[in-house]
Amino acid sequence: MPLDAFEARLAFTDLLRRLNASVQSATKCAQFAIRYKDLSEDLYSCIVEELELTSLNSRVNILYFLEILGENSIRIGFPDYVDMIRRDLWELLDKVVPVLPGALANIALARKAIDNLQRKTIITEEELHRVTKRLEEREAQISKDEISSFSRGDILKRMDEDRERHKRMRENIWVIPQGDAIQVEFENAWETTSDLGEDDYDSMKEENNLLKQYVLK
Amino acid sequence: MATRSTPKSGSPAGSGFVSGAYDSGSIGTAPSSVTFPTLIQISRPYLSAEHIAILSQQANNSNGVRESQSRFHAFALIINTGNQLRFPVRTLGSAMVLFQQFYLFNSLQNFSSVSDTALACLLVASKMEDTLKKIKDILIAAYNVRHPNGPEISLDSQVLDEQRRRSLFLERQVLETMSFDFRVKHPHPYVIKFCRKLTLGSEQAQLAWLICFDSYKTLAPLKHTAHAIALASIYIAGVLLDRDISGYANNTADFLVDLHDYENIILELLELYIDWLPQTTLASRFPDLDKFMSMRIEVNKRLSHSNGSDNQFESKNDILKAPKIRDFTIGDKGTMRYVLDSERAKVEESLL
Repeated sequence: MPLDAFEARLAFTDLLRRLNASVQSATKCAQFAIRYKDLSEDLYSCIVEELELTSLNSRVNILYFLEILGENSIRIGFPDYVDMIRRDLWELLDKVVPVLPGALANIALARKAIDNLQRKTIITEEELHRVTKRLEEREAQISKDEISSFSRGDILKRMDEDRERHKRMRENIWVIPQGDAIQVEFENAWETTSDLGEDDYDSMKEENNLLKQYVLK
Repeated sequence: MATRSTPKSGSPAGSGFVSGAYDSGSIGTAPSSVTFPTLIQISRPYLSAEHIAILSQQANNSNGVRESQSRFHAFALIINTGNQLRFPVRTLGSAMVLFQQFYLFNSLQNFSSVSDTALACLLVASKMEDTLKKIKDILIAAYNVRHPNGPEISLDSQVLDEQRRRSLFLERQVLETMSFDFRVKHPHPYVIKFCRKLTLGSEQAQLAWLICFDSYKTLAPLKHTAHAIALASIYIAGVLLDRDISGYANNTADFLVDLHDYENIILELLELYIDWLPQTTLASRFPDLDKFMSMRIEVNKRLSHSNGSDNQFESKNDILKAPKIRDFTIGDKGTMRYVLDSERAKVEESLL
């Protein structure tokens, strides 16, 4: 059912307002944006507007939604949304971690979000580095003294959403990145595995004992 | 599997629980007037070669070429599906080990769809190794692997729902076969640690890493410890790359690896490469069987000179009695309890 720009903006904004931390809500939004990709500029401006207007907590949800939008765009080979996200990366983040009390709560999540964007090849490593630096500067700017006034409802909602995001992260954090899987995993392990130590010897002893129980010599 | 049942008075004698059919464990019954038979199954994380021979005979899953080919077909399905989902090696490895364990304790007759079993093993492995994926995602990936040019399957497809139901049933069977024992160790981290300790360089480490991946296609992970497999893989890698292997080949004890075990693992791996090279990760890089065959001759020479006895199977306590094939319907006849080891079962019995 084709919508005109005005109707589409209304519908999309409505969807954005209902965004929470769940993958379903983000996917719903993303599917709408992809379906009406002819209106990509209009819909993108809705995202930017909503980022300005909505609460600090909800801005994080929008940031995570961008990841799903980017992912789906890449999958179908539609570059516009990704281009716009890359072009405005700092402007978008600026709204998620503004110089306002309470924004500190968003810093860690913002870092994870841009990390995800890079892992999903929505932004490049270089862009990630640049924006990470600016995030660090911003973090220093935000006053740690002022205790922000979040309502109890807000706090509980945020806790729930953090839990949801953490669950999502556990489903993705192990994923082997692009490339020859076995090669990539080996190189990573070669760099990051700890040296042979006491605890390894303890583990090996334990395994040897376990083996002895079942396989007599 | 080691279990025993002793139906208490009141339960029908012909209940189907055959006392003595399983090894001893201990019994527990609900402390009420209603008694029902309870079986305890004790986990066997490791099996000896003799155990495996006994089980194979019972299952009558002959180890002929056809069965082997179907096994490798299952491995390929696991690996290709797993790669689509970007699973790490430990998930793929666990799946392949679970698959082999499954058909040691269950007959092909009762579980004839090898592909379905393979995917159920991948499902269990993904949970075990903390690389969660939804069943439907796994089934869809498997579908894409099997129909690369085919139409995309719809998420609501009835076929998918049917498969999902079958997968859940098989998942349960796999979990029961493994006695819900999720204590698993992988050789890969040890490859890195040992190679670094011996300053062997990343090229040999990477080759050993690949060999460890191949090891999951043998029964080695069920018979030997992960660190032993790692060391054996490092040895084979060293020989293939014409490296100096003296640093560890004679001091396996430094890595808490029994020399005899180590030699046997090498033989097991060599057998895989000699008989099934195209099914392994080394096929393109080392297409010539000669190196593997001469390695095998060397190892056999060493073994015949050593004092290593051809271990006679002796049982010192109950747990080492011969394992039995699973009766997969037994859960319907009473309560099955799965216990990690006989110690725990004894402790519980003393408490009751």
